[in-house]
Amino acid sequence: MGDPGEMVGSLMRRLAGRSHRRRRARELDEELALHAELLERDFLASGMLQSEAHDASRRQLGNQTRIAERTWDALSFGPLDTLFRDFKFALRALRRSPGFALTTIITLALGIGSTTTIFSVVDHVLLRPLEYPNADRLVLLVQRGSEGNQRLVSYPTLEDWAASSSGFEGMSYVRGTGVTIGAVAGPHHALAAFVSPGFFKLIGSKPELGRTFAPEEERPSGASVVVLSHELWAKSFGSDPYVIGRTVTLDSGNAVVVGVMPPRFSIPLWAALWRPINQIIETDPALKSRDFHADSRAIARLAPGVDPARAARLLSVVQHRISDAYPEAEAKWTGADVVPLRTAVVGNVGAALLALGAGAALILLIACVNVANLAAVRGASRGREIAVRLALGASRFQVMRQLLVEMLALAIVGASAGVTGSYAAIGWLRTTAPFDLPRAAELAVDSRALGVALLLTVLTAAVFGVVPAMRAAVPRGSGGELLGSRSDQAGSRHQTRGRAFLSGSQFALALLLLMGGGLLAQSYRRLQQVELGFDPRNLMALSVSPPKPKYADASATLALYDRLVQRLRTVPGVEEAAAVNFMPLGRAGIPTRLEVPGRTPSSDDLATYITVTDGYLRTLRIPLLRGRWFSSQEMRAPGDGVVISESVAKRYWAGADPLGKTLTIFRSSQERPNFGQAVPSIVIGVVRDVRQFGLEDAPDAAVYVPLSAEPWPWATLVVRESDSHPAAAAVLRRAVLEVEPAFTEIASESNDTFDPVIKSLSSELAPRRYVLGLVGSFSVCALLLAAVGIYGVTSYSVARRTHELGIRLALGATPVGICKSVLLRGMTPIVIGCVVGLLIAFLAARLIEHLLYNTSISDPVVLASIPVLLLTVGLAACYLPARRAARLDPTIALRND
Amino acid sequence: MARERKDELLPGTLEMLVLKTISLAPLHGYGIAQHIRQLSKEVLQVEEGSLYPALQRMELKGLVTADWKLTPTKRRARYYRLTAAGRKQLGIEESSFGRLVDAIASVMQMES
Repeated sequence: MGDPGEMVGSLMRRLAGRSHRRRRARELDEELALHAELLERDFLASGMLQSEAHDASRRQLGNQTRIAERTWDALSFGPLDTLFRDFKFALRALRRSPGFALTTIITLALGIGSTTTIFSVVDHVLLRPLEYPNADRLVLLVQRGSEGNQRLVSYPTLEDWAASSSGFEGMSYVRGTGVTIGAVAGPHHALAAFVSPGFFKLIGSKPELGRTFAPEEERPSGASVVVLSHELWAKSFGSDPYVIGRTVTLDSGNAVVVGVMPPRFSIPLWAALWRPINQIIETDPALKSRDFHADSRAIARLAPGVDPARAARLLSVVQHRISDAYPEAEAKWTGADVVPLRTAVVGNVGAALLALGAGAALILLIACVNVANLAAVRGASRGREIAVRLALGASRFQVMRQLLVEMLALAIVGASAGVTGSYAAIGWLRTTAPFDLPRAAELAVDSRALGVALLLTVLTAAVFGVVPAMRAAVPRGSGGELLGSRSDQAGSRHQTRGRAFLSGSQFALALLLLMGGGLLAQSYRRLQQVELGFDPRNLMALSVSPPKPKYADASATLALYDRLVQRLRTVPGVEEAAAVNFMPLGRAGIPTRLEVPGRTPSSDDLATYITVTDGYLRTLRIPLLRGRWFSSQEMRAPGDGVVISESVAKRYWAGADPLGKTLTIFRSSQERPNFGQAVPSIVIGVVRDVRQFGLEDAPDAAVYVPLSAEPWPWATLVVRESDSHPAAAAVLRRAVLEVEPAFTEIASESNDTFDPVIKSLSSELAPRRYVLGLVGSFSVCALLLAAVGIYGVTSYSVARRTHELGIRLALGATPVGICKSVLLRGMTPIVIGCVVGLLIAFLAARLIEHLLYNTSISDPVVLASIPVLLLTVGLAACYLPARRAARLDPTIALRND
Repeated sequence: MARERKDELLPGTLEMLVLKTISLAPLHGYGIAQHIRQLSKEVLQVEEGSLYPALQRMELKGLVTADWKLTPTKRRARYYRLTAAGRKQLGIEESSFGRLVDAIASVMQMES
């Protein structure tokens, strides 16, 4: 029977045979009856008497039941059949104790489900290499200052690096700018990556369509070409398969599409299209300046066998020389850091994910402890049944196999529920990724995650199900004494202690999770109360990029902003409107160098360069601390006045009056020809710091200049609405389109419209809310599981002690005394568990430090409330069985068995 | 099948005999037993306790198939007949049995 086809056929016939077993049994009876009859006829024919022939035929045929049995044996599956019987028996046994079965299933579903989900996420986001050839050798390069701070590298410096450092296979510079692209759906604003020669070769990915840049296209005065990202191709070109060779308008010029990159090719993350850097090398002053450290990426490939740390040391030697050669721009920047691309892509989500992973692992541990506890309790109560089976000749192996099958049945049901849940959770995560989860599109519950789930299932069933049950059921040695013993004795000291230890450890683990959740909640609360420096309520914002050929000229752009602001001010419900280059909390900003007479210049002399229209301060309600704001006259024709934020004042003139002091700032709009030009200024006012980058970043040092002094090529329009009758976003949008219909990007059905600033504040907090929600629900799960655990163990011990408690009551113990003694037994492991948990929490606090904001493990609110919560829940879980014990009727208790 | 029971026949030969017997015409269980007994001049006794399990096994292996028919005396009986696989199996067993018999015979005929 070696042929697999034959084996399958045989198996199918066996299964068919089983299902028709009853019919086949009748048939066999009929066959045997006929056989007997024909035998009898032949015996008669040979001259026997009727009665003799009858007896002879029966004798000849022998035991009919035995024939039938042997025939059935042919239908048997052997070991498989035994397993099947065990399963049927297990189901029957479990149906008799649905409470045990259900609790175990839910426990395992929670444990395995959460672990599988978090494992899938951690695996895809953190563990797997990025989907580029030899992605582990791709790195980002940044400069490191003497105080360990980092900044982006300028193009001239990167070229020096590339020319003279070893340890790298290649380096490439990427300059990011916004461009207007003429697409099928109308002109679009898109982020372009201008890449230095060899960029695509360095990364090694193949395009989805067409090709990447040819060497001659990357040389100065090469043809104007562009490679599109998959997303841009899909969104703006309708996934047109014939897009290669088409000419598209980019700003005021044209470019030929030569290629489309595959989905998930995102280097840098924001790039929607790629162009050779030679296209802007002549026109972009930022590329020639060693002072430019923004809107760019330096990407490199390590030489084989070189790790990032060694590459960083090699590169730092080169940078040290550069720092000596260009003291003005590079002083203090004496080193370089090499950051693996994956670290850069994953960012600080990694830390959050690891915390979640730890949370899921804790849940799993608690679940396993619960299963062990439940199994031990059940095993102990089945001691007699198992002793009987052993006495009747079942081997220990057979008993164990039966227990394993029982646990496996539960584990499989629980794990299926858990895995189903994690499919749903991952699907939800992938589609609605509540924050910018890196690599979200790659998420899936795949064979690796299923493998982990399967392993967990078998392990929990075998280790945490069978071993404790077996130990509880067969206390060592023969079952002889158990057979005779009564089932109501309180179990051996050893077993009781083991169960108390398990309950205690559950509470320790639950405490860890709850402490983590509590600290995250405190951080969240503190972040919500952060002083922003402006009033975010009733503020609406929309960023606009005036389309290029028409608004390439600075004065045209300025006039447009002016018209827009004037028009918005007239919309009913609008109190004030303004335009600004970088909105607070926008996670963006360009720094300018500051020079103060009498101070040696240092590379720390930076402040965010904010350029605004007249009503900005009133619109955002940023408090003016000293001096004055720009007059309307200065707004139109800027003088040498500059307004600074309080951090700048504190940095240079601490304790002195900053007003009237002189300060040199540098023009920072990279697209203007006068980029980098020094502007000597006089401080006329000081305003409060605002959080420019994010809630968790320090309040930002900033300088304010009139927009007319520096007409930015894009801007954010901000509108302060009245509390009582705010204008709708659609009305504001219509007003903008009235002024400039060419803003097609906001005219289409896209989401680009005025958004409440408070909403971006909320999305800023979204990742934290998300992590907090998950850790919070983990903590609640842990608490519930621990409560179920202690409740089960205490109830069980009360049930086993019924007889003993009855005697005590009969001898004069008071119900209160009984209640106290049960509570004491139950609460002891809980209290010890909480103390141990607290100790571990202090030791493990470092692990979630970076997820906390102004909160530490010794936070009094968390430290006081979490243990109290646990003790209260524990007390409640122990009180129910204790009350039952106190209400025992001694006469019934003594008779009870 | 591994679980072959002891009987007077050489192990494994019962199936071959059954296959050969029904290769001529479909027969019911009793007919098969009688046929083997008569042709072997009463030497080979097929026990009912072996025959029916063997038929069941062969049915599972797909070597034989059975249907209910009427006997000449108008009794309902389960008639077993060969399948294509059974016919092939019979060929294999016949030739290997032939070789076995020849081999044994040449050993036994050795001059002592």
